[in-house]
Amino acid sequence: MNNSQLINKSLIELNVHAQTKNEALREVANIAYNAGRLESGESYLNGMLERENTSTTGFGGGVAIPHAKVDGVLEPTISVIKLKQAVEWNAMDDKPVQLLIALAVPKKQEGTVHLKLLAKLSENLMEEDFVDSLQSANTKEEILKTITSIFK
Amino acid sequence: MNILAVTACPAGVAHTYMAKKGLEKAAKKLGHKIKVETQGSMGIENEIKAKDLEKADLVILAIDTKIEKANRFDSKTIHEVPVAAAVKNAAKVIEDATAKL
Repeated sequence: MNNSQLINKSLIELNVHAQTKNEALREVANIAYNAGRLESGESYLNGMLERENTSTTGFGGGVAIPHAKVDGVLEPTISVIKLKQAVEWNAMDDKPVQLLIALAVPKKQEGTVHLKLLAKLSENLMEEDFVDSLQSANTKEEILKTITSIFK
Repeated sequence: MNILAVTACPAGVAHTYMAKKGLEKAAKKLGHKIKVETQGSMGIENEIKAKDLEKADLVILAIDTKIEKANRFDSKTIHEVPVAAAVKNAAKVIEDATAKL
């Protein structure tokens, strides 16, 4: 399985500027769109906003996992965004969020290979060591390596 | 204690699996046995069967959506919480559940 199908360097951005949760999610959508993963950024953005309204994806420690399963996503995608400054997220521990691990899944996803990997990523986010190494990573290479290491 | 759990969330791509992991880790820490079924984007996985139910002391449902085959648990002590509770503090979910017995 070629993991670059799920994530690659063009889906990782450091020092992203955003002042609010909505701006941060717009950046997530822009990055996925610019990487050729979306037909349009809007449906993904709206899907993520809708998901956040249902319940927060900020699961504590300054990390969030915004995600949406919507039409207009061309292939399952992971993107990782580090914000220059943490933004208010209404997170489970009320702490502002600086690290985003975002998922995009096509509404009509066929096959389970990618979904299994996304599930594996989600499970790993409950491991402190994994989250710590993502938070302390300073380069795109380190982040890419950390994420793809769990798929081996 | 023998615990069964089902996790499910609307998109079924993230919190279903985070909650599963959270419950498994917390159960281990607290010295309980647990089997967690996920009802996510890949359908039912690690399905709870009749033989699992026979020896189960209680059932935790960490769900934000209607689950399939819920009637399996009709005769069991059920502790239902939002899926976020199992992501945030699964140990508390298990402690609250065992306190119901």
